[in-house]
Amino acid sequence: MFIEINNVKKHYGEGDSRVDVLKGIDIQIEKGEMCVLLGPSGSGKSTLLNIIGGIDEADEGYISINGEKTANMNERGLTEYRRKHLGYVFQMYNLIPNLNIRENIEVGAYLSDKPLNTEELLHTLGLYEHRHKLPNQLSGGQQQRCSIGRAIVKNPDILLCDEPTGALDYNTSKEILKLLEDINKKYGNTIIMVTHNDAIKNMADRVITLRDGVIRKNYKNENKITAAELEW
Amino acid sequence: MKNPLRKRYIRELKSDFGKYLAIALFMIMLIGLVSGYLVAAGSIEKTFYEGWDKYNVEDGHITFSLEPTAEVMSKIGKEAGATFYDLQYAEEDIDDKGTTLRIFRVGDRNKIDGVCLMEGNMPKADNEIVIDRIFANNNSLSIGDTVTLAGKHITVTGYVALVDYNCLFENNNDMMFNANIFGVAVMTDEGYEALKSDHIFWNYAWKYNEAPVDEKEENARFEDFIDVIEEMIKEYDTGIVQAEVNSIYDRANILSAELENEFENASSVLENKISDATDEVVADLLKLLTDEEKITLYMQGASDNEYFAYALAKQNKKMDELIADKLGTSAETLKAFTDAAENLKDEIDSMSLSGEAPVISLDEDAKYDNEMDMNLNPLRDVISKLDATGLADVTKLTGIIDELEELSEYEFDENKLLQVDNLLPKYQNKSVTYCMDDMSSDKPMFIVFDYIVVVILAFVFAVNASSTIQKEAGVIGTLRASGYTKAEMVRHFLFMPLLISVIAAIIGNVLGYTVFVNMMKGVFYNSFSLATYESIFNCEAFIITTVIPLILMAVINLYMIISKLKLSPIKFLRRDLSKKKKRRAVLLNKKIAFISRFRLRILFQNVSAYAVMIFGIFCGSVIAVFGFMFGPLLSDYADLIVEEKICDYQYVLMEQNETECEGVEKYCITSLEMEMEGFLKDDVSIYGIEDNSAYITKEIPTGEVLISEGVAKKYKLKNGDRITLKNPYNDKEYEFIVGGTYAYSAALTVFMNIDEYRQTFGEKEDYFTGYFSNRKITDIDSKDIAAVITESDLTKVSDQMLNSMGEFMSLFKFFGAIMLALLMYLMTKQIIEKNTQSIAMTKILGFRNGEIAGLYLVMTGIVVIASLLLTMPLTDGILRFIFENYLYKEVSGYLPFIVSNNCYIYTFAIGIACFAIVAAFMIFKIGRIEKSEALKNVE
Repeated sequence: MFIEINNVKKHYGEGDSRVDVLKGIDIQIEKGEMCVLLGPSGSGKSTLLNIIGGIDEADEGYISINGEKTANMNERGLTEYRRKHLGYVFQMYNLIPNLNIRENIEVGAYLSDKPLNTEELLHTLGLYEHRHKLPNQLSGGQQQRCSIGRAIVKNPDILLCDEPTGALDYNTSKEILKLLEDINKKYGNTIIMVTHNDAIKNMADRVITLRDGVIRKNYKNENKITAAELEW
Repeated sequence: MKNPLRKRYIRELKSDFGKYLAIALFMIMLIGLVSGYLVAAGSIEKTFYEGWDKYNVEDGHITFSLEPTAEVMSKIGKEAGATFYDLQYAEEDIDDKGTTLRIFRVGDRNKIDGVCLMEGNMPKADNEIVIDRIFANNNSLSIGDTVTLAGKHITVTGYVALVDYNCLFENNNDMMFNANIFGVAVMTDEGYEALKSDHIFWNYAWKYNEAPVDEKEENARFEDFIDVIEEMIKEYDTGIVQAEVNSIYDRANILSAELENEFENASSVLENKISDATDEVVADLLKLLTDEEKITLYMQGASDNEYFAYALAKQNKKMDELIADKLGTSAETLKAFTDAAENLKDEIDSMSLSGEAPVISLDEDAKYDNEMDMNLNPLRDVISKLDATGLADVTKLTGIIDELEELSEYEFDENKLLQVDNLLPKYQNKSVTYCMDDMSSDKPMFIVFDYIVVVILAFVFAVNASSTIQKEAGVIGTLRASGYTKAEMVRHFLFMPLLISVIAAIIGNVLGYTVFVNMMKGVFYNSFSLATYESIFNCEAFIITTVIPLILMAVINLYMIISKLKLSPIKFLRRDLSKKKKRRAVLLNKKIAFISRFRLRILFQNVSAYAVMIFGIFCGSVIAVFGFMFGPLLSDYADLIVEEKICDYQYVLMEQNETECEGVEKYCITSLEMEMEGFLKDDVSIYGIEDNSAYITKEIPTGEVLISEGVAKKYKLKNGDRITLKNPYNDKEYEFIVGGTYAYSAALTVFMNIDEYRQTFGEKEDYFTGYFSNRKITDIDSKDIAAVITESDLTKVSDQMLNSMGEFMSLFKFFGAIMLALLMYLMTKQIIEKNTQSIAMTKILGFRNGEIAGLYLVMTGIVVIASLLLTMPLTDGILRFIFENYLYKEVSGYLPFIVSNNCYIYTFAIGIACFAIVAAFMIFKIGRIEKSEALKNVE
């Protein structure tokens, strides 16, 4: 199994204010799968994503990526792991305001020994004509495309997306989802996407639903549709 | 692939150009100034010491009271292992202005103490002269001007610097030089002769044939040199005195012979007169006999004498009375004459008025003690009696006696002796060494200043980086989550401060070597008469102005950035950059007006920016107060010196001379070196003071010493402490026990009992160096006085310090003010920028620009005023700390720590003025913030 999440537990706070965010999560994800993590606010989905991404630590359990447990890695190892294997996309695009679109993507390319072709990627992202613009000159959707480009340009094994459409309107959201779908197909990356938009589960290979830190559903989507077909 | 983040740097620079420009300019000025100073000082120092070789500076010079023979000079040189060069000079007043111009000949200076022509041409004609540049400037003498010297019109053809007069001390005992009234000049040999000055000084410079390796050897050589000089001069003077004494004895011999002759003549005349008178008396007596008496006597067979006796008996007078009558005098007078005649002979016989002259041996002070102790009074008595008889002309005798008496009272005219008026080795010659001593004392001040400002600027960058990290937390979190390492992020945020520092260092150094160096050179050249100067690369300056500031900048920023970026990526993504658990918002009493609460929130929000601003205001205040304090300090110091002066006239004697003047008190003085770990060497004056002194009013405990307050404060000494002072020339150490302090600020001083002083330093029981007096001493020859230290001499030191430090202090004031303004500007700007969206929002809500400025600037204004006021005690403390722990250790001598209240008032006023300017800028900036800013994405 490419990604193996085993009995992962996580809590915040102590005493009366203790909150058990994850209460023993077991998930297995295959390479190239598009996995959607669903759940209401506070269900623990972002926390789980961050633990998978190595930017947060589990209290118990472990995560194994291609047989390598992240719990055994020190900070330097985790950084190296993220650098080699992960791409991150957030709800807030977090683009560097004084770098243009092309340069923001190059920020990701810099991290890889064999990055994707930036020109080609800009075409794929539909940002080629905007490549010289600064982020604040683009729409939210375009900025998110750019942030996806930054994440994907290093051709990561895993693309982690935390509410990538959370700040976008319907059409733009669909465009972004389509882009992720295309990338998944084109580059074969494993995508784990956190969302509270229930409709998005229909385009996923695997759907996992969390509530109160516990997996409520975990199933392979046999009736997968394309992003273009999504409706909500 | 190069890190694309680097592309941000130029854009960051462009977007915040004003801020970076302000910091860079300040840093450029700082580095330029310090670099300029250090390069100028270093270059001058190098040029200075190279000039010693280039211009063949003397090892010392000696001035004689009269022109010595070539033979004696050659002999001294041979014995002392040195070569002498004739550096004779004349002193004249230019245009009768009350100045002293010491004029040398060109010829002499071709071999030693060369002349550096600074401007114009060397003199060629008899009526041409080149003058010291500073003296010429101070007296508005331009090239081409004609001046009157010794009644002759002389044209100034150029300005020069003499290697042995880089500091224009007229007299080495002067506490301070005065280039307004004393200068040096050079004329052609012929011109000098044609000047026919009445004020010629027989001055000779010497150079050891084998150069001493260090100062200790130089001193030892000088001690030997003194012995040789003393011996040679004594020999020379003995010869002069012997020749004169010989001639006196020769004359005395002649006079003695003449006296005998004259006496014999007089005697002969007298004897003849008496003989004639006797014959006449006898004849007269015989005429008195009647014929009967003659017959009777005949019948009795009387002899001639019996006839004579009979006749005499008839006269009822003695024979001598009759002779006296015959000579027209009395018998007593006649008796006196005969006695006198006998005595005169005896007296002459008994007096050694003839013979060989004694072999002269001059005493230590080269004074001739007359050995011709003739008592001519008995002779005079006799001659006087003889004269009284009127029987002999004693004019010649009296004349001879007078002349003999003159000879016997002969005192040798010391002006005929070859005496040393001035003997000075190079290392004690202030005209040669003072410049470097003075220059070295400014250096630590500049270095401290450099580091303080760099540290502040480093904090400014660090706070700026911290603010940027806060602002870009999301981006940083994303980059870290994407695999950017912490080191890459640290390097990214460290780059800008280092880039600005490197740019500032490069430009600063370029300006330092081109512009500031000339400014600094001007400061030095205004005080010292230095030879032509050439800027040279100064490795130390590079380290101090470039390497260390870059290291300070890197270390401070590295620490701040690392501590800020230590957080996990998720914390950045959550924009939760507090290292501690989230604190609850400070609860503010609702009774506090809303506007006040708003302002307090701004304060809480920008604690770090305000902290840096307070620190910057503190440092700016320190620098400004430091700049302001020296004027009043030196003035107060001068007052203190006057108030604590020992006496009105402190005489330092060339040799021990007694005085009849009342109210004077003897003292002894010497100088030793204080060597204490961590401190530069200091010269300490050791005074020997008489018991119950009227001048040092505190009792000196037996076996202990009083130290001046300067010594106590500088070295933190207290009663019972032991201090060890060293004679630098023979390494002999002296230990003293501190028995108290004495209020005396003019110098670092130790006061001890005069007897203990004599014992300690192996001096004779009656040894002393000079007198304390509150009145002028009138009965000591000025030639025997080395120096008279008066109130004006004591305060000259502080006057000169003010003069030489004045321009530097102005720089400190300027930098202090700029620093206050810069820190206020940068931090206020940061607060405004941090709140751009809030300000835009308040605008949307309907607040007017004035009201918004009131919200954001009033708080800053309060912080500024509070900082300026509250940091005053801290400023005082840090300056005291700098004085006691740095300046006292790095600079020789002592200055009391006195800060006038006015310094704080000026600094406060400057601070307020700076903030007013900054506030005006910020009001303008607030006005330009668009309302749309409130709607923008945080990125």
